[in-house]
Amino acid sequence: MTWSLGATVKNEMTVVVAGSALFLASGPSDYLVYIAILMMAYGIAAIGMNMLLGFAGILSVGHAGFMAIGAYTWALSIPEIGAGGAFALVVLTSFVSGGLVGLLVLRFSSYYLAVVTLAFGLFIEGAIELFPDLTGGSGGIRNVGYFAIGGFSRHDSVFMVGLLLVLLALALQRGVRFSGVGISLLAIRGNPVAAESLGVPIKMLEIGTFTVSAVLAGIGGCLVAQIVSYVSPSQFGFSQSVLLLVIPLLGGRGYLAAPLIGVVIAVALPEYTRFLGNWRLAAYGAILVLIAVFAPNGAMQLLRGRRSLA
Amino acid sequence: LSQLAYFVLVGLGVGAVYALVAAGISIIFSSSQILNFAQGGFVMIGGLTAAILSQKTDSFLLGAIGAAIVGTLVAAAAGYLITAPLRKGESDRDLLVVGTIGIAIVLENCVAELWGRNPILVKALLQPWTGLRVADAIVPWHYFLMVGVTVVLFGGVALVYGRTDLGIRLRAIAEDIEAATAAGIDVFRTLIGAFALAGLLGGLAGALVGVVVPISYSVGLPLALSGFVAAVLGGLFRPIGALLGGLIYGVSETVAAGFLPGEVRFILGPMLIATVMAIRPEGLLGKRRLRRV
Repeated sequence: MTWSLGATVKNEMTVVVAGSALFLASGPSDYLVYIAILMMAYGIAAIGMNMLLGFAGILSVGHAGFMAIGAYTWALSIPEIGAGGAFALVVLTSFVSGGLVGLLVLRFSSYYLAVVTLAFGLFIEGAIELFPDLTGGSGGIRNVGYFAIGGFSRHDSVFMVGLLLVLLALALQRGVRFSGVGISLLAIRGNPVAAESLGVPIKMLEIGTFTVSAVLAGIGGCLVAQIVSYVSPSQFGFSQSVLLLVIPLLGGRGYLAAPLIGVVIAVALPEYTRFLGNWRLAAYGAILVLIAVFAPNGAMQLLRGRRSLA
Repeated sequence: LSQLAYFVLVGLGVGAVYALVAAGISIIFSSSQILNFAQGGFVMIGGLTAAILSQKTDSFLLGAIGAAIVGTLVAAAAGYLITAPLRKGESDRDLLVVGTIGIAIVLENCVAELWGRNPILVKALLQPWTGLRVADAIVPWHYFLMVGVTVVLFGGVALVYGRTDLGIRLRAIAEDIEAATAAGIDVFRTLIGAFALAGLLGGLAGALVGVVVPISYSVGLPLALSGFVAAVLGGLFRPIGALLGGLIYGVSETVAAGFLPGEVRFILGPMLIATVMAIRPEGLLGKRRLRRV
C-alpha cells in the first residue's frame, strides 16, 4: 500500500480526535480528565507494545521498567532543566536504556525472553528502592512538575500534551505498519527462519522495535508522573507490565486500533466500576483467560470475525 | 559465624517453600512450555484452606490434607481451561502465559471478596515458638519440618517421574510433544495431570508456609515470582532442579537480608536470574538443548 495523507488521517486517529472533542464538549470534571490522561499514558506505551508484540511477536513482561525510567527521569530533571529539556531527556534515557536492554535480552528467544524481561522489570523496581537518596525509595517523589501551557491548569495542559503525543504515536505506528519495516516485522512474527532466509535483518529490526517501544513506554511513564504529580516504585511494577501486555491483546495484537480498544477495556472500565470492589478485578482476570483461550485476536476478532492479521 | 548459621537455617526453610512452588512451575513448563503465573494462586488457596481447616479442627494434618485436595482440584480446573487451545492444535504459548496471569487475578480477587482480606495463620504441628537454639536466636522446629517435608515430596516427584505411567507420559511430552502425540499419548489429559501435580505441591507449600507467614488473598503473586526465580535457577526443564534452585534462593535471600542493607534483597532475584541466564541459560541442573531450525 502506498502512503497517502488521506489514508493516514482516517481511522484510529480520527477516532481519537473526534472522541477527545466530544469528551471536552461534555465539560468533564477533573477526575474524568485525570482518567482520560491515564488512558493516554497507557495508550502510548501500549502502542509500543502493540508494535513489539503484534508486529514483531516479541513478548516482554517488564516494560513497566521503561515507564519507571521515563517517570523518574522526568521527576528528577524538570526542576533542573525545565519541561522541554526534561522531555528531551526522557526520550534520550528511554532510547538509550531500551537499546541497551534490547541488545542484551534479544540474544534470547521464546520463553528465555519472557524470563529476562521479567527480571529487567523486577530489577528496575528494586533498583529504585536501592537508591533512596536519589529516588526517595519506596516513599517516592512528590510534587512532580508538568508541561504547563499558557494559563491552563495541570489537568488541561497535560491533556493537550497527551493528546498530541497519542496522535504522534498512532502516526508512527501506522507509518511503521505500512512501510517495508512493518512488513518485515510481520514476516518475523510469522516465521523467523523463513524471514531470515529471505534476507530480513532480524536482530536489527527486533532491537529497533524494542527501542521504539521503550521510548513510547518512557513517554507514557512521564505522562503518568505529570498527572499523578507523584512517582513511586509501586506505580511501575509487575502488574503494570502485565497491563501493558494485556492492552494490545484485548484489542487484538497487531491491529492498529488495538491499543485504543484495549485501553478502554483495561484502564477506563475498571475506573468506572470501582463500586464493584474486587469483583471487577476478578472479571478483568476472567476476560484475560477468555481472550487467551478462545479469542487469540482479541476484540478485533469478535468485531471482524477474522482469524489472523498476517 | 553462629549468626550466619542462623540465617542459613532459616533460609533453608524459606527456600524449601520456594522449591515447592518452583517444582510446580517447572512440572507445568517442562511438559506444556507454559510459564504458569497462577502457581502462587494455588499456593495461596491451599494455604488459606489449611489455615481455616486447622483453626477449626485444631489439627495441622487435616489442614494440610485439605490444602492438598483443594490445590489439586483448583489447579486441574485451571489446567483444563488453559490447555484447551492446545487440544484444538493451536499453540501460541505467549497468549496462554497471559491466560495464567488472568487465572491468578481471578483467584486472588474471588478470595478477597468471598473470604475477606484478613491474613490468617495455619495452626502449627509442632509447638510454634520452640526450636533449635543458635547463638542468641531460636530457629523454630517448623523450619526443619518444612525442609524435611519438601525433601520427601521431591522424592515423591522423582518416583512419579521415574515409575508411574503419568511420569513416563510427562517425560515423553517434555522431550517432544509431537512425537508423543504421534505415539498415541493423550497430551491433553497428561497436561491436566501436570497441573494437578503442580497444584498438589502448591497446596502443600501453602500449608507449610502458612504456619510462619499469615496467608491472605495477596500472597500469591510474590510467591509465584520467588518460585519463578528458583525454577529458572534450577532449570525450567528439570523439576528436580527446583529443589536446588529454591534452597539457593532462600538462603541467599535471608543471608542478604541479614547482613546487607535491606534494599539489596529487592534486586537479588533479578540479579540471580541475570547471572544464570548469562552463564547457563538452561539452569544449574538443566540439560543443554539443541534448537531445531
